[in-house]
Amino acid sequence: MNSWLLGVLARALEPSDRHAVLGDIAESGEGIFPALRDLLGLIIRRQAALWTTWQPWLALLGIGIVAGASLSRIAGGFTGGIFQQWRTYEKYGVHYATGVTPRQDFAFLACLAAGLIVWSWTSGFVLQSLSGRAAWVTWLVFCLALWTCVCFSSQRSAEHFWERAAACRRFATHTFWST
Amino acid sequence: MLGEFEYLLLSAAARLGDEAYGAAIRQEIETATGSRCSIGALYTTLDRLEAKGFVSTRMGDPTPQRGGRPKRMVRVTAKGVEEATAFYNAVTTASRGVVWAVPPAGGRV
Repeated sequence: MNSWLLGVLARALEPSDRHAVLGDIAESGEGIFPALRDLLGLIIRRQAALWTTWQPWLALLGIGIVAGASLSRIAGGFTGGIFQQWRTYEKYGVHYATGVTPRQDFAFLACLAAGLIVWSWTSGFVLQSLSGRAAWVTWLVFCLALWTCVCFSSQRSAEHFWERAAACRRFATHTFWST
Repeated sequence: MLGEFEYLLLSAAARLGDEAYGAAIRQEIETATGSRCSIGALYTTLDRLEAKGFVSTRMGDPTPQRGGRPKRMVRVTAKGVEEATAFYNAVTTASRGVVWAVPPAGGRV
């Protein structure tokens, strides 16, 4: 268990460093807590050293936050659009009225999906290239930014959907029951 | 100019010679200073000294007592010897004529 925990933590180090450090810990015969403290200390020092260059900062701010937020907006628009169409079709059996034909709507969603794939791949590639060994921090921030914005925009889309659905229902009730 | 921990590390590595590697250097420093030496401080200082060209490192053979893991062997370079000598001379010169005795209460050093 102890060596397993140390082994998991040591994965944050370069492979050559990892083996030498774990070997030193094994040879010193120190307990698990001093060993963990030593290992964590080294990992923190190594990570701090990585952030002395501009590349991880650019990845964090430029890709992790800015590109992550815009990517989440595309993702939010895409999932919102799919969700609206699916729920409207399921409840009312009709195409959700967006002012365009179903074919145009499908083409729009397909373009959005393609944009989503290309943008995701490009962001991931640039993020990894710039971050190097600091990638796990920039990826974490990127995923958090993405997840937060997607949740927020999905919630807005859902609220917007239910408002529109209620309006549709009112319109249908008024049109078919009043005549 | 070297820092004092850099000097301690270079001295330990020079004393150990061909047997200089992470755990042994750490043990030497702890024995010399009487205080704990963290692996983080040791390895980051080692990296810095290697970047400056004062030491060279290579991966040694794995041993059973280390769980089959290799050692990071350290060798002090000629440039490292020069720097350590300069540091030692500076400290020796600066210490000349100084007697480190605890002054009596209210007295001056």
